[in-house]
Amino acid sequence: MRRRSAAVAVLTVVLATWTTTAASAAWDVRGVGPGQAAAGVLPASPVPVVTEQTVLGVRTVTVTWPAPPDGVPLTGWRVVRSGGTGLLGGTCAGVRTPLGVSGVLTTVGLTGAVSCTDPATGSVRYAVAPVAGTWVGEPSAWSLPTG
Amino acid sequence: MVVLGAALLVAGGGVATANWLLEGTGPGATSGATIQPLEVSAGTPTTGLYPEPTGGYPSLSPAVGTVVAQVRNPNSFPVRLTSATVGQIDVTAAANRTCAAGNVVAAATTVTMPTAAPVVVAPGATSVQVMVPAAVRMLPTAPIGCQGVLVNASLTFAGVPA
Repeated sequence: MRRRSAAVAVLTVVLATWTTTAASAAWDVRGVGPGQAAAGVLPASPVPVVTEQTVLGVRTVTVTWPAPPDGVPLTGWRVVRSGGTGLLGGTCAGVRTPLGVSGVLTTVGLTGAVSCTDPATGSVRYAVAPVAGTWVGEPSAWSLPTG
Repeated sequence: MVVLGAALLVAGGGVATANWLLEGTGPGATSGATIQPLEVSAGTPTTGLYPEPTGGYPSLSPAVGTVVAQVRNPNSFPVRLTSATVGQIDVTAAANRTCAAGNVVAAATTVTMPTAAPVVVAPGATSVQVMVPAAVRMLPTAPIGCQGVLVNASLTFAGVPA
């Protein structure tokens, strides 16, 4: 008697599952057609603000710029220095550190960065441009030069 | 045995009901209960697609890679959309720009529609804008000519009566 009850229970579950599946498939509603997405455009490059600090005779310039608009997944910023003399170090130089004359200080990889530091002597000014993958935006206007 | 009999009864009734709804051969067909396919047309995109960073897109609001469609429900009952399957993808570059279609690909073959905020298309609704989040992505190597490109993606929606 117990064996029969178990068999009935199993059969009931199987039938219920089959019924649900069959009915569900028949109830499916479908529709086919086009959808659209649009690629973004890099935001305008903000003009950076430059401050400087000298500690124990070593001057460090801090370059700061606004965060990009919400929804823009930048992969970094390109920071360009004009004038002065660059020294080794600083967080502006994520990939390469040009010595001497004006150079490009790429901060690719610092996705969340909105500032970086550059140890440089002399009067310097900076421009920044947003980077997304292989996309590089037009550089901003130059910042005011340091003293 | 009573349970078995009830199960068979329910099974038979369920299948019969499903069949007449699908094929329109039952007594309810003349009352408009036949299932009609949803009608889908292109929507207006509201978000931007950018080259995918290493490790994937971060959680952003609005979501990157959203595909937008307009859905019309000709049925007499509401339909809850459960998934969207992305098919052929074409791109139209902006003026004076070049972007190959292969730079934009489906992020997932089938996107499960969010259950937290179900998308329900009311009966007779003629133009409901439906967002399919994270449906497409742009390759990290996509050239800058892909800026502003318009992406057309074939969508197959699946839904159930709500």
